[in-house]
Amino acid sequence: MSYGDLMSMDLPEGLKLIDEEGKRLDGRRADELRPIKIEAGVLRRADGSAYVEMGKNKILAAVYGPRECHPRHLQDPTRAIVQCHYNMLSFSVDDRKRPGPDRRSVEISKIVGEALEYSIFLEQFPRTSIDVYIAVLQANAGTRCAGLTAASVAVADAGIPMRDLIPACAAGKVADTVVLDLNKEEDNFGDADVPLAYIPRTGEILLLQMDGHLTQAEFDRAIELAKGGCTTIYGLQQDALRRRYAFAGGDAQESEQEAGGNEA
Amino acid sequence: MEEKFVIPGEIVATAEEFVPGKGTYESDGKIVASEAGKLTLDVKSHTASVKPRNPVTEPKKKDKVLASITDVRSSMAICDILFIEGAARQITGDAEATLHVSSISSQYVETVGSAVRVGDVIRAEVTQSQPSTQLTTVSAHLGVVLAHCSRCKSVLQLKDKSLFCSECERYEKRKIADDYGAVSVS
Repeated sequence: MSYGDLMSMDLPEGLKLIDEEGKRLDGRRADELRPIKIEAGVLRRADGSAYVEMGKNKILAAVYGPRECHPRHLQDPTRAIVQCHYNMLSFSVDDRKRPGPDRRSVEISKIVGEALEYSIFLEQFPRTSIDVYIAVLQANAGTRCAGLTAASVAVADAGIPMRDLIPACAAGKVADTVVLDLNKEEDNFGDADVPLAYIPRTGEILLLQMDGHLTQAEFDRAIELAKGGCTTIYGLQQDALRRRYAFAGGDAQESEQEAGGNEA
Repeated sequence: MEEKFVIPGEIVATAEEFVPGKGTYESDGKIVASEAGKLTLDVKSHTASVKPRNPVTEPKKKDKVLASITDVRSSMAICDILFIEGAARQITGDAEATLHVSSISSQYVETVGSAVRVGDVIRAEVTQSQPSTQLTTVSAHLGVVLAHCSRCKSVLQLKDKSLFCSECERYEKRKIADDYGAVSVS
Protein backbone atom coordinates (compact mmCIF):
# COMPACT_ATOMS: atom_id res chain seq x y z
CA MET A 1 0.00 0.00 0.00
CA SER A 2 1.49 3.29 -1.04
CA TYR A 3 1.20 6.69 0.54
CA GLY A 4 -1.27 7.76 -2.12
CA ASP A 5 -3.51 4.75 -1.50
CA LEU A 6 -3.58 5.51 2.18
CA MET A 7 -4.54 9.11 1.54
CA SER A 8 -7.55 8.14 -0.52
CA MET A 9 -8.67 5.41 1.86
CA ASP A 10 -11.75 5.75 3.96
CA LEU A 11 -11.58 5.40 7.68
CA PRO A 12 -11.32 1.69 8.54
CA GLU A 13 -14.44 0.42 10.22
CA GLY A 14 -14.37 0.49 13.97
CA LEU A 15 -11.47 2.97 14.09
CA LYS A 16 -12.32 6.00 16.15
CA LEU A 17 -9.81 8.82 15.85
CA ILE A 18 -11.25 10.54 18.90
CA ASP A 19 -13.08 8.56 21.60
CA GLU A 20 -16.00 9.54 23.80
CA GLU A 21 -13.69 11.06 26.38
CA GLY A 22 -12.08 13.29 23.79
CA LYS A 23 -8.85 11.28 23.78
CA ARG A 24 -7.00 10.58 20.55
CA LEU A 25 -5.59 7.28 19.29
CA ASP A 26 -2.31 7.83 21.12
CA GLY A 27 -4.05 9.04 24.27
CA ARG A 28 -3.47 12.74 23.75
CA ARG A 29 -6.02 15.46 24.24
CA ALA A 30 -6.88 17.73 21.30
CA ASP A 31 -4.41 20.45 22.33
CA GLU A 32 -1.49 18.20 23.24
CA LEU A 33 1.79 17.81 21.36
CA ARG A 34 3.54 14.50 20.91
CA PRO A 35 6.58 14.00 23.15
CA ILE A 36 9.48 15.96 21.68
CA LYS A 37 13.20 15.51 22.09
CA ILE A 38 15.69 17.96 20.56
CA GLU A 39 19.45 17.59 20.61
CA ALA A 40 21.95 20.00 19.07
CA GLY A 41 25.42 19.22 17.75
CA VAL A 42 25.04 15.51 17.07
CA LEU A 43 27.22 15.26 13.95
CA ARG A 44 30.96 15.77 14.07
CA ARG A 45 31.69 16.60 10.44
CA ALA A 46 28.88 19.10 9.92
CA ASP A 47 29.32 22.75 10.92
CA GLY A 48 26.05 22.52 12.79
CA SER A 49 23.57 19.74 13.38
CA ALA A 50 20.47 18.74 15.30
CA TYR A 51 18.37 15.67 15.97
CA VAL A 52 14.66 15.89 16.61
CA GLU A 53 12.22 13.24 17.75
CA MET A 54 8.60 14.28 17.60
CA GLY A 55 6.49 11.32 18.56
CA LYS A 56 7.54 8.61 16.10
CA ASN A 57 9.26 11.09 13.78
CA LYS A 58 13.04 10.90 13.82
CA ILE A 59 14.84 13.65 11.96
CA LEU A 60 18.46 14.64 11.52
CA ALA A 61 19.49 18.03 10.20
CA ALA A 62 22.99 19.09 9.19
CA VAL A 63 24.20 22.53 8.17
CA TYR A 64 27.34 23.33 6.21
CA GLY A 65 28.65 26.77 5.53
CA PRO A 66 28.38 29.55 4.71
CA ARG A 67 30.67 28.05 2.10
CA GLU A 68 31.62 28.63 -1.49
CA CYS A 69 28.50 28.37 -3.61
CA HIS A 70 28.23 25.45 -6.02
CA PRO A 71 26.95 25.49 -8.71
CA ARG A 72 28.57 28.87 -9.27
CA HIS A 73 25.73 30.35 -11.33
CA LEU A 74 23.45 30.25 -8.30
CA GLN A 75 25.63 32.53 -6.21
CA ASP A 76 24.40 35.99 -5.38
CA PRO A 77 26.97 38.80 -5.12
CA THR A 78 24.90 40.55 -2.46
CA ARG A 79 23.93 37.72 -0.14
CA ALA A 80 24.18 34.08 0.76
CA ILE A 81 21.71 31.57 -0.58
CA VAL A 82 20.13 28.76 1.39
CA GLN A 83 20.14 25.39 -0.33
CA CYS A 84 17.85 23.10 1.59
CA HIS A 85 17.58 19.40 0.87
CA TYR A 86 14.76 17.51 2.51
CA ASN A 87 15.17 13.80 2.06
CA MET A 88 13.08 10.89 3.26
CA LEU A 89 15.21 7.82 3.65
CA SER A 90 13.98 4.65 1.98
CA PHE A 91 13.31 2.99 5.35
CA SER A 92 11.47 5.96 6.87
CA VAL A 93 7.99 4.70 5.98
CA ASP A 94 6.20 1.33 6.13
CA ASP A 95 6.60 0.66 2.45
CA ARG A 96 10.02 1.30 1.02
CA LYS A 97 10.19 4.89 -0.18
CA ARG A 98 11.77 5.18 -3.57
CA PRO A 99 14.97 7.12 -2.86
CA GLY A 100 15.74 10.45 -4.45
CA PRO A 101 13.95 13.73 -4.88
CA ASP A 102 10.28 13.67 -5.78
CA ARG A 103 7.60 16.29 -6.16
CA ARG A 104 6.81 16.31 -2.45
CA SER A 105 10.38 16.58 -1.18
CA VAL A 106 11.24 19.32 -3.67
CA GLU A 107 8.29 21.32 -2.37
CA ILE A 108 9.25 20.80 1.26
CA SER A 109 12.88 21.70 0.54
CA LYS A 110 11.66 24.94 -1.03
CA ILE A 111 9.33 26.04 1.76
CA VAL A 112 11.68 25.04 4.56
CA GLY A 113 14.58 26.79 2.80
CA GLU A 114 12.50 29.93 2.38
CA ALA A 115 11.55 29.97 6.05
CA LEU A 116 15.21 29.65 6.99
CA GLU A 117 16.18 32.34 4.47
CA TYR A 118 13.93 34.77 6.25
CA SER A 119 15.57 34.08 9.59
CA ILE A 120 19.25 34.08 8.60
CA PHE A 121 21.24 37.30 8.08
CA LEU A 122 22.15 36.36 4.51
CA GLU A 123 23.67 39.71 3.57
CA GLN A 124 26.60 39.06 5.91
CA PHE A 125 27.93 36.32 3.65
CA PRO A 126 27.82 37.41 0.01
CA ARG A 127 28.52 34.83 -2.71
CA THR A 128 28.20 31.91 -0.35
CA SER A 129 25.78 29.07 0.11
CA ILE A 130 24.38 27.71 3.35
CA ASP A 131 23.62 24.06 2.76
CA VAL A 132 20.96 22.48 4.93
CA TYR A 133 20.34 18.74 4.79
CA ILE A 134 17.27 17.29 6.46
CA ALA A 135 17.17 13.51 6.66
CA VAL A 136 13.94 11.88 7.75
CA LEU A 137 14.98 8.64 9.41
CA GLN A 138 11.47 7.72 10.47
CA ALA A 139 8.28 9.46 9.39
CA ASN A 140 4.97 9.67 11.19
CA ALA A 141 3.27 12.81 9.83
CA GLY A 142 4.48 16.33 10.49
CA THR A 143 8.00 15.79 9.13
CA ARG A 144 8.21 19.18 7.41
CA CYS A 145 7.56 20.89 10.73
CA ALA A 146 9.93 18.66 12.67
CA GLY A 147 12.46 19.11 9.84
CA LEU A 148 12.28 22.89 10.03
CA THR A 149 12.51 22.76 13.83
CA ALA A 150 15.66 20.64 13.52
CA ALA A 151 17.15 22.71 10.70
CA SER A 152 16.80 25.95 12.62
CA VAL A 153 18.56 24.49 15.68
CA ALA A 154 21.30 23.20 13.37
CA VAL A 155 21.74 26.66 11.81
CA ALA A 156 22.09 28.20 15.28
CA ASP A 157 24.53 25.43 16.22
CA ALA A 158 26.58 26.29 13.13
CA GLY A 159 27.10 29.80 14.50
CA ILE A 160 25.32 31.43 11.58
CA PRO A 161 23.79 34.78 12.62
CA MET A 162 20.01 34.54 12.62
CA ARG A 163 17.07 36.66 13.73
CA ASP A 164 15.47 33.91 15.77
CA LEU A 165 14.96 30.18 16.09
CA ILE A 166 12.06 28.81 14.08
CA PRO A 167 9.74 26.35 15.77
CA ALA A 168 7.11 24.64 13.64
CA CYS A 169 4.20 22.33 14.23
CA ALA A 170 0.92 21.39 12.61
CA ALA A 171 -2.69 21.57 13.60
CA GLY A 172 -5.61 20.01 11.80
CA LYS A 173 -9.11 18.68 11.89
CA VAL A 174 -9.85 15.12 12.88
CA ALA A 175 -13.34 13.70 13.41
CA ASP A 176 -14.83 17.21 13.43
CA THR A 177 -12.42 18.38 16.13
CA VAL A 178 -9.55 20.79 15.65
CA VAL A 179 -6.45 19.13 17.08
CA LEU A 180 -2.78 19.93 17.51
CA ASP A 181 0.13 17.99 15.99
CA LEU A 182 -1.48 15.26 13.89
CA ASN A 183 0.02 11.79 13.88
CA LYS A 184 0.01 9.51 10.89
CA GLU A 185 -3.44 7.99 11.34
CA GLU A 186 -4.96 11.41 11.95
CA ASP A 187 -3.16 12.82 8.94
CA ASN A 188 -4.33 10.00 6.70
CA PHE A 189 -7.95 9.81 7.82
CA GLY A 190 -8.43 13.37 9.06
CA ASP A 191 -10.10 16.27 7.27
CA ALA A 192 -7.38 18.93 7.27
CA ASP A 193 -3.74 19.53 8.09
CA VAL A 194 -2.24 23.00 8.69
CA PRO A 195 1.53 23.12 9.20
CA LEU A 196 2.73 26.39 10.71
CA ALA A 197 6.12 27.93 11.54
CA TYR A 198 5.86 30.85 13.87
CA ILE A 199 8.28 32.98 15.86
CA PRO A 200 6.69 33.57 19.27
CA ARG A 201 8.72 36.71 20.08
CA THR A 202 7.68 38.67 17.01
CA GLY A 203 4.49 36.87 16.04
CA GLU A 204 5.76 36.33 12.50
CA ILE A 205 4.52 33.38 10.48
CA LEU A 206 7.23 31.88 8.27
CA LEU A 207 5.41 28.87 6.91
CA LEU A 208 1.73 28.20 6.50
CA GLN A 209 0.10 25.57 4.36
CA MET A 210 -3.27 23.92 4.38
CA ASP A 211 -4.34 20.54 3.12
CA GLY A 212 -8.08 19.86 3.30
CA HIS A 213 -10.99 22.05 4.24
CA LEU A 214 -11.64 24.17 7.32
CA THR A 215 -14.20 26.83 8.12
CA GLN A 216 -12.90 30.26 9.07
CA ALA A 217 -13.56 29.53 12.74
CA GLU A 218 -11.84 26.15 12.55
CA PHE A 219 -8.88 27.69 10.76
CA ASP A 220 -8.51 30.36 13.43
CA ARG A 221 -8.65 27.70 16.12
CA ALA A 222 -6.04 25.62 14.26
CA ILE A 223 -3.69 28.59 14.01
CA GLU A 224 -4.20 29.34 17.68
CA LEU A 225 -3.38 25.73 18.63
CA ALA A 226 -0.35 25.60 16.32
CA LYS A 227 0.98 28.87 17.73
CA GLY A 228 0.74 27.40 21.22
CA GLY A 229 2.58 24.30 20.02
CA CYS A 230 5.29 26.43 18.42
CA THR A 231 5.78 28.33 21.66
CA THR A 232 6.36 25.06 23.52
CA ILE A 233 8.76 23.80 20.84
CA TYR A 234 10.62 27.12 20.89
CA GLY A 235 11.44 26.56 24.56
CA LEU A 236 12.71 23.06 23.78
CA GLN A 237 14.92 24.42 20.97
CA GLN A 238 16.45 26.92 23.37
CA ASP A 239 17.03 24.20 25.97
CA ALA A 240 18.77 22.04 23.37
CA LEU A 241 21.21 24.83 22.48
CA ARG A 242 21.83 25.62 26.13
CA ARG A 243 22.61 21.97 26.86
CA ARG A 244 24.95 21.86 23.88
CA TYR A 245 26.93 24.86 25.03
CA ALA A 246 26.48 24.36 28.77
CA PHE A 247 28.39 27.02 30.57
CA ALA A 248 27.99 25.67 34.09
CA GLY A 249 31.09 24.35 35.83
CA GLY A 250 33.49 26.15 33.51
CA ASP A 251 33.51 23.31 30.98
CA ALA A 252 33.38 25.84 28.16
CA GLN A 253 37.10 25.60 27.54
CA GLU A 254 36.97 21.83 27.58
CA SER A 255 34.27 21.53 24.96
CA GLU A 256 36.06 24.10 22.85
CA GLN A 257 39.17 21.93 22.83
CA GLU A 258 37.07 18.96 21.95
CA ALA A 259 35.61 20.89 19.04
CA GLY A 260 39.10 21.81 17.89
CA GLY A 261 40.23 18.21 18.14
CA ASN A 262 37.45 17.06 15.86
CA GLU A 263 39.29 18.21 12.80
CA ALA A 264 42.42 16.18 13.51
CA MET B 1 31.05 43.92 32.30
CA GLU B 2 28.43 41.25 32.57
CA GLU B 3 28.62 37.82 30.93
CA LYS B 4 25.85 35.41 30.12
CA PHE B 5 25.09 32.66 27.60
CA VAL B 6 22.50 33.65 25.02
CA ILE B 7 20.68 32.06 22.11
CA PRO B 8 19.54 33.62 18.81
CA GLY B 9 16.31 35.53 19.33
CA GLU B 10 16.97 36.25 22.99
CA ILE B 11 16.44 39.87 24.04
CA VAL B 12 19.68 40.98 25.66
CA ALA B 13 19.25 44.73 26.17
CA THR B 14 17.22 47.74 25.14
CA ALA B 15 18.23 50.10 22.36
CA GLU B 16 18.11 53.09 24.73
CA GLU B 17 20.94 51.58 26.75
CA PHE B 18 23.12 49.70 24.29
CA VAL B 19 24.28 49.71 20.68
CA PRO B 20 24.12 46.39 18.83
CA GLY B 21 27.64 45.01 18.37
CA LYS B 22 28.85 41.74 16.85
CA GLY B 23 26.39 38.89 17.18
CA THR B 24 23.42 41.11 18.00
CA TYR B 25 20.89 43.21 16.12
CA GLU B 26 18.26 45.77 16.88
CA SER B 27 14.57 45.07 16.50
CA ASP B 28 11.69 47.15 17.83
CA GLY B 29 13.83 49.05 20.31
CA LYS B 30 15.34 45.84 21.68
CA ILE B 31 18.82 44.42 21.23
CA VAL B 32 18.47 40.78 20.24
CA ALA B 33 21.15 38.09 20.06
CA SER B 34 21.74 36.64 16.60
CA GLU B 35 24.28 34.00 17.59
CA ALA B 36 24.61 31.42 20.35
CA GLY B 37 27.41 32.41 22.64
CA LYS B 38 28.66 34.51 25.47
CA LEU B 39 26.99 37.89 25.86
CA THR B 40 29.09 40.88 26.79
CA LEU B 41 27.39 44.09 27.86
CA ASP B 42 30.16 46.64 27.78
CA VAL B 43 28.96 49.51 29.96
CA LYS B 44 31.85 51.74 28.91
CA SER B 45 31.15 51.75 25.18
CA HIS B 46 27.48 50.77 25.70
CA THR B 47 27.84 47.92 23.25
CA ALA B 48 26.10 44.58 23.48
CA SER B 49 27.98 41.83 21.68
CA VAL B 50 27.94 38.05 21.53
CA LYS B 51 31.08 35.95 21.23
CA PRO B 52 29.84 32.87 19.36
CA ARG B 53 30.70 29.39 20.64
CA ASN B 54 31.05 27.95 17.15
CA PRO B 55 32.05 30.93 15.00
CA VAL B 56 32.19 30.87 11.23
CA THR B 57 35.81 30.99 10.05
CA GLU B 58 36.76 33.70 7.62
CA PRO B 59 40.43 34.18 6.69
CA LYS B 60 41.81 37.10 8.68
CA LYS B 61 45.13 38.92 8.46
CA LYS B 62 47.98 36.88 10.01
CA ASP B 63 46.05 33.58 9.68
CA LYS B 64 48.18 30.68 8.49
CA VAL B 65 46.35 28.82 5.75
CA LEU B 66 46.93 25.77 3.60
CA ALA B 67 46.12 26.45 -0.02
CA SER B 68 46.43 24.63 -3.30
CA ILE B 69 47.73 26.43 -6.38
CA THR B 70 45.13 26.48 -9.15
CA ASP B 71 46.80 28.78 -11.68
CA VAL B 72 50.21 30.29 -12.26
CA ARG B 73 50.35 33.65 -14.05
CA SER B 74 53.29 35.87 -14.94
CA SER B 75 53.16 37.95 -11.77
CA MET B 76 51.06 35.91 -9.40
CA ALA B 77 49.66 32.53 -8.50
CA ILE B 78 45.96 31.91 -7.87
CA CYS B 79 45.21 29.59 -4.97
CA ASP B 80 42.24 27.92 -3.34
CA ILE B 81 42.40 28.07 0.43
CA LEU B 82 41.84 24.56 1.77
CA PHE B 83 41.57 25.47 5.45
CA ILE B 84 42.92 27.77 8.11
CA GLU B 85 45.51 26.07 10.29
CA GLY B 86 44.08 25.41 13.74
CA ALA B 87 40.48 26.17 12.74
CA ALA B 88 37.89 23.54 13.51
CA ARG B 89 35.77 24.10 10.43
CA GLN B 90 36.00 24.88 6.76
CA ILE B 91 36.38 28.47 5.68
CA THR B 92 33.43 30.71 4.98
CA GLY B 93 33.00 32.54 1.73
CA ASP B 94 35.27 32.82 -1.23
CA ALA B 95 38.22 30.46 -0.95
CA GLU B 96 40.14 32.08 -3.80
CA ALA B 97 43.35 33.91 -2.89
CA THR B 98 46.32 35.32 -4.74
CA LEU B 99 50.03 35.04 -4.08
CA HIS B 100 51.99 37.84 -5.74
CA VAL B 101 55.47 37.17 -7.08
CA SER B 102 56.92 39.84 -4.77
CA SER B 103 55.60 38.10 -1.66
CA ILE B 104 56.77 34.57 -2.44
CA SER B 105 60.26 34.66 -0.99
CA SER B 106 62.73 37.00 0.67
CA GLN B 107 65.07 36.21 -2.23
CA TYR B 108 64.58 37.32 -5.81
CA VAL B 109 62.04 35.17 -7.65
CA GLU B 110 62.39 35.41 -11.40
CA THR B 111 59.14 33.71 -12.37
CA VAL B 112 56.23 32.50 -10.30
CA GLY B 113 56.67 29.08 -11.91
CA SER B 114 60.11 28.72 -10.38
CA ALA B 115 58.63 28.89 -6.87
CA VAL B 116 55.20 27.24 -7.09
CA ARG B 117 53.43 25.09 -9.66
CA VAL B 118 49.79 24.25 -10.27
CA GLY B 119 48.68 21.50 -7.87
CA ASP B 120 51.18 22.35 -5.16
CA VAL B 121 49.93 22.73 -1.62
CA ILE B 122 51.40 25.72 0.18
CA ARG B 123 51.31 27.08 3.68
CA ALA B 124 50.88 30.84 3.52
CA GLU B 125 50.01 33.78 5.70
CA VAL B 126 47.08 36.06 4.95
CA THR B 127 48.21 39.66 4.41
CA GLN B 128 44.85 41.05 3.32
CA SER B 129 41.34 39.68 3.50
CA GLN B 130 39.29 42.51 1.97
CA PRO B 131 38.44 43.12 -0.84
CA SER B 132 40.41 40.10 -1.99
CA THR B 133 42.50 37.59 -0.09
CA GLN B 134 46.24 38.09 -0.52
CA LEU B 135 48.85 35.65 0.71
CA THR B 136 52.56 35.67 1.44
CA THR B 137 55.10 32.87 1.79
CA VAL B 138 58.03 35.03 2.90
CA SER B 139 59.26 33.05 5.95
CA ALA B 140 61.06 29.75 6.47
CA HIS B 141 57.94 28.04 7.78
CA LEU B 142 55.89 29.19 4.79
CA GLY B 143 56.01 27.81 1.26
CA VAL B 144 55.30 24.56 -0.54
CA VAL B 145 54.44 21.64 1.77
CA LEU B 146 53.48 19.15 -0.94
CA ALA B 147 54.44 19.12 -4.60
CA HIS B 148 54.13 16.79 -7.54
CA CYS B 149 56.60 16.20 -10.37
CA SER B 150 55.65 18.37 -13.33
CA ARG B 151 56.47 15.50 -15.68
CA CYS B 152 55.12 12.32 -14.04
CA LYS B 153 52.98 13.76 -11.20
CA SER B 154 54.52 11.54 -8.55
CA VAL B 155 55.08 13.17 -5.17
CA LEU B 156 58.42 14.98 -4.94
CA GLN B 157 60.76 13.99 -2.11
CA LEU B 158 62.98 16.33 -0.15
CA LYS B 159 66.62 15.62 -1.05
CA ASP B 160 69.66 17.87 -0.47
CA LYS B 161 67.37 20.79 0.46
CA SER B 162 65.72 20.51 -2.93
CA LEU B 163 62.82 18.52 -4.35
CA PHE B 164 63.63 15.30 -6.18
CA CYS B 165 61.48 13.04 -8.34
CA SER B 166 62.69 9.46 -7.94
CA GLU B 167 60.76 8.33 -11.04
CA CYS B 168 62.26 10.86 -13.44
CA GLU B 169 65.50 11.24 -11.45
CA ARG B 170 65.52 14.98 -11.63
CA TYR B 171 65.30 17.96 -9.30
CA GLU B 172 62.61 20.64 -9.30
CA LYS B 173 62.71 24.14 -7.90
CA ARG B 174 60.19 25.39 -5.35
CA LYS B 175 59.93 27.83 -2.45
CA ILE B 176 59.83 25.06 0.17
CA ALA B 177 58.50 25.32 3.72
CA ASP B 178 60.83 24.05 6.45
CA ASP B 179 58.56 21.07 7.15
CA TYR B 180 58.00 19.92 3.57
CA GLY B 181 56.38 16.49 3.39
CA ALA B 182 55.48 16.37 7.08
CA VAL B 183 52.11 18.10 6.74
CA SER B 184 48.78 16.32 6.62
CA VAL B 185 46.82 18.03 3.87
CA SER B 186 43.44 16.35 4.33
